[in-house]
Amino acid sequence: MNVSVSGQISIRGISGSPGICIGKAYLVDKEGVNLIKRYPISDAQISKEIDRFKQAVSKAKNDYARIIESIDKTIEDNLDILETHMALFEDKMLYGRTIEAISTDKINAEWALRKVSRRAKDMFQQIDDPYLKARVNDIDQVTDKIMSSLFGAEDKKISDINKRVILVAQDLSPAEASQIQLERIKGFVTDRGGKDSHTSIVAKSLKIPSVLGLGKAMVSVKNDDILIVDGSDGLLIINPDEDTLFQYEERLTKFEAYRAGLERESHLPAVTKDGVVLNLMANIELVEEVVAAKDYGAKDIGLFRTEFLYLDLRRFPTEDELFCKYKELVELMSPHSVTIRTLDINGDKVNPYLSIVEEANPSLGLRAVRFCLENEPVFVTQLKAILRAAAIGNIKLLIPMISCVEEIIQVKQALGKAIHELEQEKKFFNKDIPLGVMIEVPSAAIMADHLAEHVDFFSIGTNDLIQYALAIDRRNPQVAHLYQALNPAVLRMIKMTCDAAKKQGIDIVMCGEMAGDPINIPILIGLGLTHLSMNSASIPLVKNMIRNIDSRTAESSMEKIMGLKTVKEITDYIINEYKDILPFQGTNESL
Amino acid sequence: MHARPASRIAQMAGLARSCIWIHANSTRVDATSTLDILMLCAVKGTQIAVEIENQKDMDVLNQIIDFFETGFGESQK
Repeated sequence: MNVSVSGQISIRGISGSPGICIGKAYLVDKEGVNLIKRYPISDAQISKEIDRFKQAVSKAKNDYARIIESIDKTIEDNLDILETHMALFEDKMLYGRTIEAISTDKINAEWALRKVSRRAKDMFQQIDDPYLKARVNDIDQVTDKIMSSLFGAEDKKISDINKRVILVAQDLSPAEASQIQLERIKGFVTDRGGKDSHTSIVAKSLKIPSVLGLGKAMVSVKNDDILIVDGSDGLLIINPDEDTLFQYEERLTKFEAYRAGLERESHLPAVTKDGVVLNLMANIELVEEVVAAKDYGAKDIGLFRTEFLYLDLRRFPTEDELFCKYKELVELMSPHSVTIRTLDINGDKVNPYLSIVEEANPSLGLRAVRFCLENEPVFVTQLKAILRAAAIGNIKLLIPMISCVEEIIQVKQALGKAIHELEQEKKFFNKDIPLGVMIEVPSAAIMADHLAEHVDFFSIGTNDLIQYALAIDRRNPQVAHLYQALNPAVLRMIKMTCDAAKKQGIDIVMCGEMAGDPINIPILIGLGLTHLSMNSASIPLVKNMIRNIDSRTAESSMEKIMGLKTVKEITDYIINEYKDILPFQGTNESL
Repeated sequence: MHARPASRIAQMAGLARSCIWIHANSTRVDATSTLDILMLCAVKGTQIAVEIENQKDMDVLNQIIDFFETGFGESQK
């Protein structure tokens, strides 16, 4: 956190979804209603606090009585509900217990009411009868009414915010996010949520600027503070000074004009100026992301990460559980293809009891295909589910972390076993699916020519390839700046892989973050890559870049680029050649 | 029992001098609370009993029984 003389506070978080917005802060608590503060009260304050509560209830009742009087008496249903609510205002389960909670717990009326009302709601929620279950709404409405008269303010609820605000929350679940009326929200920031969290997936699907994992936003921001959310850069600025505000207003105008242009073009084909067609695909983790992927113009799913279900269940899912998920996804995407990557984690993340030895270097440890080959039943179960889903839709099978030819041979043996079991069980499946490997370990890039003889396609995973090739842990802030996609060593490895695929005549995809950054696109086209898979939000920008590039120029400049010795030389060369079409270079806008 | 009759019962019980309880499905709840009465999950045909603690509340008891016997004074399940 960084505080300036003028009182401007900057907090760095993680980019949720790109874009900039400027607006007033609106704090919400986890339930999606107003932030309810909890504070202790002294013995002497108890009776005063109880009076405050009683007054709030009587004010709420008076408001209600006025509504009942004014209502059209012919609409009896409505009246019925309102009269029931009238009775609930002083119901013992709410009213009596709130007063009890104020005096026994010595807490403020708002918190006591919230606590009591939640308990009552829980009780009703557990009842099977749908009519009684629905009474939860009555409790909610009555509680809200009392709450707002306690606040002494107008009703405030996430669903009826009437000005355009920036939400500040602890976290935002998919359910809460669905209540947000997007046209009323400019952007949002949360304290929790990392790069791979649920919240980040929500952020991407909402397509509004957001910054996550801020840690201190809830305590640093007050309602109505002026905020700048820089979703592209992962930055939150509270109460900006005039200079900052001016600077961001300007960037915002530019960004919006730029974005509007892109969105208009998002359904145009990804084709270079000289007519080379590229296939832009989406990387996803949840079936729910398919809608956003299609909106952004993705054709296929180039990478479906399968870890989520394993981590969510905290156990190994059954073949049927996996099959159902995969089936849902391929049906949604049909006839377009879905590339399913098999489990890519250390096994102890799923089941902490599984690992006997503590790994000092998990990223160099028993992970991904290594773990799967050691735990064949887990692997075979997943392969069977994939083969069954392949009978329904268009699936490609992708194996992560392959580092040598032997591993592919072992994978094929496991695949044979899965096929054999499915035959024995007389299940419906399709064994003729393309088998590909991730090229993300340097040894695989170096051996790409031999690996190509054994598989149907390569998928270059740049995140790990860069990390392993340069020996950089990019989550370590001390060395993260050295993690560079345009490092000449990385480019050589990618070129080796592309050349090997071309020679063997197999398909090649790039599915790492490198494929989603416009600055890399001229080089990727120059290397002959035509299948790029990325976070779907990056697709419009990448497509725009592609549509402005001539592939012949890109190819002919490769010799020059491959001869450059440093990251700076390469970056400068690209910026110089493509300065007219690159978005926002030099403004730290990694979009 | 629905919310409307439950709240009417709670209103009536609210006039009593001492506590009034409703028994059903082997639970006892405070008759002055609409939500408590709803929590009984008393569907049509459920056996219920009303308990008063003070003889003087006999009139309230009778009123409640009347209310039940007349089908909640309206057509209501």
